[in-house]
Amino acid sequence: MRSRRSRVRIVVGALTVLAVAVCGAGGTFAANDAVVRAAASGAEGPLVINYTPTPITLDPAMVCSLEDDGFISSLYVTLVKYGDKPIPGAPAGVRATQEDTTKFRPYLARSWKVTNGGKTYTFKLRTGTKFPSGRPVDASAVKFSFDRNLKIGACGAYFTNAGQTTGNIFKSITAPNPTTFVIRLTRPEPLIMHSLTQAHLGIVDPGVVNANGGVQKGKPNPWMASHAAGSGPYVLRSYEPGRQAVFVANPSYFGPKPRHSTVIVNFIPSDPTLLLQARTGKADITVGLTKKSVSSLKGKSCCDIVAVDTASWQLIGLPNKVPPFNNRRFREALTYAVPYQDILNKVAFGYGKLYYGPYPPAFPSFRASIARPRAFDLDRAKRLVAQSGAKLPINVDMVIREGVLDQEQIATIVQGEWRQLGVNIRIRKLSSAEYEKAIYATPNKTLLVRFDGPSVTEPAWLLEYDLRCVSIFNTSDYCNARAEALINRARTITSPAARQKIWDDIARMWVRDSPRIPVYADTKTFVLKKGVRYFHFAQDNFDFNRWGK
Amino acid sequence: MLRLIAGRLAGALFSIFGASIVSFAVLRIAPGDPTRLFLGDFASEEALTQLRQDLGLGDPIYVQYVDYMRDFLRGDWGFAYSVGQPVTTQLESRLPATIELGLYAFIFAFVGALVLALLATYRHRPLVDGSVRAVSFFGLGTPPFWFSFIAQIVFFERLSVLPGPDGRLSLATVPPPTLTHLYTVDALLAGQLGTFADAVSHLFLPAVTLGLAPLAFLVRLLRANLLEVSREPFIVVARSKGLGRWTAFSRHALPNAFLPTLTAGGLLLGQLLAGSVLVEKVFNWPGVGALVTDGILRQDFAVVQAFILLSAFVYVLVNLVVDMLYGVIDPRVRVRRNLT
Amino acid sequence: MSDASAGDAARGSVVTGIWRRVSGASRFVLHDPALAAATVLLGLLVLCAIIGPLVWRQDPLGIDVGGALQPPSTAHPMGTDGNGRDLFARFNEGARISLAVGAAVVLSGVLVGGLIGLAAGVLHRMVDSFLMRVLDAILAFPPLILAMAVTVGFGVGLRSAALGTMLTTVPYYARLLRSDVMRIRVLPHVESAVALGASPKRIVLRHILPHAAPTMLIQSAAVFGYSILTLAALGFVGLGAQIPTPEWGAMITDGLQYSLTGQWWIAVFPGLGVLFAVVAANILADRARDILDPRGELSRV
Repeated sequence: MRSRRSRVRIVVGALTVLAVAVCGAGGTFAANDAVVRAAASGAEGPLVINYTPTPITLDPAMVCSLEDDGFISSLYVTLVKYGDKPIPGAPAGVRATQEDTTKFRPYLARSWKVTNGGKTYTFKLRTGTKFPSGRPVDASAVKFSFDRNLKIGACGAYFTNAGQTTGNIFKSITAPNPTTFVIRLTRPEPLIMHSLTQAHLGIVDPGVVNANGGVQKGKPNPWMASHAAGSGPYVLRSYEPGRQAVFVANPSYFGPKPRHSTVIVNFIPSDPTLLLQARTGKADITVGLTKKSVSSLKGKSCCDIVAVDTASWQLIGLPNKVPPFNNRRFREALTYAVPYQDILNKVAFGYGKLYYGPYPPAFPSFRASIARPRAFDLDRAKRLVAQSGAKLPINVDMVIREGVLDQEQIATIVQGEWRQLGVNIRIRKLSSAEYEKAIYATPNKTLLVRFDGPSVTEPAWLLEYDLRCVSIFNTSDYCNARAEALINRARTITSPAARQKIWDDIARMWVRDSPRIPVYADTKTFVLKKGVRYFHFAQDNFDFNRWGK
Repeated sequence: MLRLIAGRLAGALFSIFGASIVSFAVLRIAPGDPTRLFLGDFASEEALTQLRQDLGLGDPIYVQYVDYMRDFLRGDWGFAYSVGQPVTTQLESRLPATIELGLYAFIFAFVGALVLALLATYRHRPLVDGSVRAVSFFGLGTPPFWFSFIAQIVFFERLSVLPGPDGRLSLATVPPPTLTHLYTVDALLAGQLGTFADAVSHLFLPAVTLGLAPLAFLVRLLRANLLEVSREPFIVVARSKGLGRWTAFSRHALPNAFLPTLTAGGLLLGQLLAGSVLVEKVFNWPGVGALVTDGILRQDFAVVQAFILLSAFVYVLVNLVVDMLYGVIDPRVRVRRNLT
Repeated sequence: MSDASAGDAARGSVVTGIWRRVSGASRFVLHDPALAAATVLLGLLVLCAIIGPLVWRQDPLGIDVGGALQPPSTAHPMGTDGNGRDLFARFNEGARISLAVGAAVVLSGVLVGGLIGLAAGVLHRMVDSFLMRVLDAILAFPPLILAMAVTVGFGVGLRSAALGTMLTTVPYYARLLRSDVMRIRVLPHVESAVALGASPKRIVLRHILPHAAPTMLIQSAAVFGYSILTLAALGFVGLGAQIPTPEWGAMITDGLQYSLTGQWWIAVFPGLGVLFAVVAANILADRARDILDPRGELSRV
């Protein structure tokens, strides 16, 4: 009897202690928070960024997606950078700027000269810059980085080669002395300056690379995939793939000190979690939140939303080589059967712009008069289908990538509308690997939904891979010999006005041919916690050093 | 006895190899080309071919398998291209999280099952018994990902008593100095009570969610066994000799009822470690389950295969130990075995 | 008694017999609240699955982007999802899918696993050892991972998900039937049948299978519940049914996106569907065990 009562008392006592510990911990770990924050990084505390998706690699020679490029950009320096311009419609109290892709400013290169009819670029580098290892950031390191990219032959090579897929544009890459770097091209290529701003052209420390696997032809370097060897505003203090990365200020960086000396980046794949943490102020900046979640934060007191028009877009690819999609009228018909405004409102929650053309409004070369958005007009679509003489019903597959809600929604909506035209779509959601294989198949046999965009907002860059008949990245198999000839001609022209005329001509041809359907141009959104007042957007470069409170 | 062990070991090895073969075959026939995923959209054809060669994707499947096993036994478990790290490093960093979660889920399930089963059987109270059985049914039937989402809404979003799905610790909490890699244990050892409380509060919901099904399963088992044992003659004799109810229960009934529960518990532990996939996904728990799911979805074979081999090994080991334990604890089993 | 009245009397006794059985069964069910609840739940779900789409005429695939994310109302008893589709219609369709796939998985698992177990139990010892090792290899896989790997390997979709789930149940059934066969083989009347020279086919059909049936039945109810859960889990991960098929697991995943922006109904109802189906199945399994095997002798694997 007595033993049982005492046993009960013990249990109750234990439970109470536990309860008190957990609840009381609320106070304790909040205090712990403050102590940790203060101790970790000086007065301003670390900048906490929640980021998705998780990077595949940290190697400048290998990074391919815009998010991966963006992530490593503050770990490396490049020869030049783009200028700045303000972001229209930025929230009050936030100084938000974006890159101005029509201007280049010096970075590692103090100055540069273009000679020999646009075929020779000579860069004069800053002196006294050092890698954290102590090795100087000089012309030989620049040459090493270029050569490395080209030798490995992955995405880095593509960018180093100024986005040209039809052969090596370099005649030579030399470092005649530590402060001079010279590139000689086989033909003029204005895009090279744009390449030089990209994270892929970040300068790596040759000593570190050689000590950790070196450079092997055609093979990725496993060490570089999870380490950084740069000289940018930050160094990578720790990196747990898929979980967290910690950046700390690089004492030997030559530029202005970063706003926060410590940046903690958390990789969070789940959108509801990202939203939750943004709402409860756990993260200072949230990158990669879906538009649906972002729109739910509009007007909330926790956060500011920075929305920037980007050069990326959602598209529906049409298989131009497969009947009846090889019929221009039929393709045109389909472009009138997409409820653009509805999709923009329901799928993108208003974060986008409508247009119809080869490139979106974010391009400086965009002309609204040529690329006017197409209306949603089912009757007109039906008439055009009849005119085209296509035999109904038409059964076709539509390929989308799994895990991407937007694509699913767009596909489902379009499926519903096109059924009324007699076009029956079977939606196939593919794993990432299958999806890649399917969209790059030549010739393309299915419809596809794709989110795409070039790293450089220059038509020359985009059309090089998007319009050339032989390019596998021309996922609609659109072939127009006249347009290709114009692109070739543009390479030799330096006058901006003359180039613009070429882009306009190409755009008009493209619009007339209706090769595919841009659903909307993407407006990228970033969620800033109230109190974060500085933000800078660059399509491919997230300059964490310029973000902060 | 020795022949028994040898036989079991041989069988265990066969199972592990069998599992590896099955996983290899199944993953390799998956459609799609992962090399382009790993090298990126603009990789040159040569780079793609080179990587395909390196990964051995062009070789016949048995060659690939032999190469893989040989490397595996040498400690090279491959490179996870979709994340940019060797598989061993990945597993090393992720395993402690899953182990800690599994451990606490198991403790919750076991202790909870004990308490509930005792409540149900100690005295004849049909209402309590009925509710315990109801709990066990619901525990077995609830989809864990759904339950965790509701739990999060209630306890985190609405009531704000528990932290949200931000992993093992709050974003700004520094992990304790590493000893066992289990945050709770390490924090206690280092005297960091704040960190300890933070880790526990983050473990609470995931452990309960993960432990719910095992709890339900164990409750039913223990309850059934307790009922059976408490009707045995030796209990009746003990009670009629004047032994108190609690003493009779704790000293006689419980140990006897415990045995089948123990063996079931052993198997469950193995399953917990593997089955935390769904829970980890919802709570953003940086464990092995989430790693493997992503690996499967991205067709990053290396990670998945290493994991399957590892869990096959754990499963077989646990089974072996449990079998041995059973033979040691219950002498009748040894006798019975020889008769069959 | 003439033939006609004999026939009448016979028919009459058949009818009374049935009536007695039915009322006896219903009295039995009503006395047991858990069993009653389980029967009702499962019955409701089956009703939803079978006649739901016939009675509730809305199109589970019908998109209405304008009416998206509506809370439950009389027009939409379970609300609408992000594409404006009626969730009640999708729930019914999902019930159809889950229950049908659950049944299919159980049936095929019983067939395949049963055959293997039978072979292991009846044929030569070497065959038995070999089959058991193979099964152990499959058992060593964490079941969800195996199902996921199969689904990826054979291409995502409902069919591969069902296949993967079925594969994970096969070793279980095989083991079950094998131990049953071992147990039944040594029963006196079976041994005497063998001694009398009965053919193996006769022994299997006449002796072994009828005795093994109760065990298989009991376990099937539990496996039914398990397969619904696994299908939902695969749908959750994105490997099960593809768009726009309204499978409960995929609907829960869809709903999780909206969990924090206030649209709770999208994930809650399918989750309840899974919960009720599995709980009902488990209760039925439990009761079946109580009736057919009260001392738990049959279910020792």
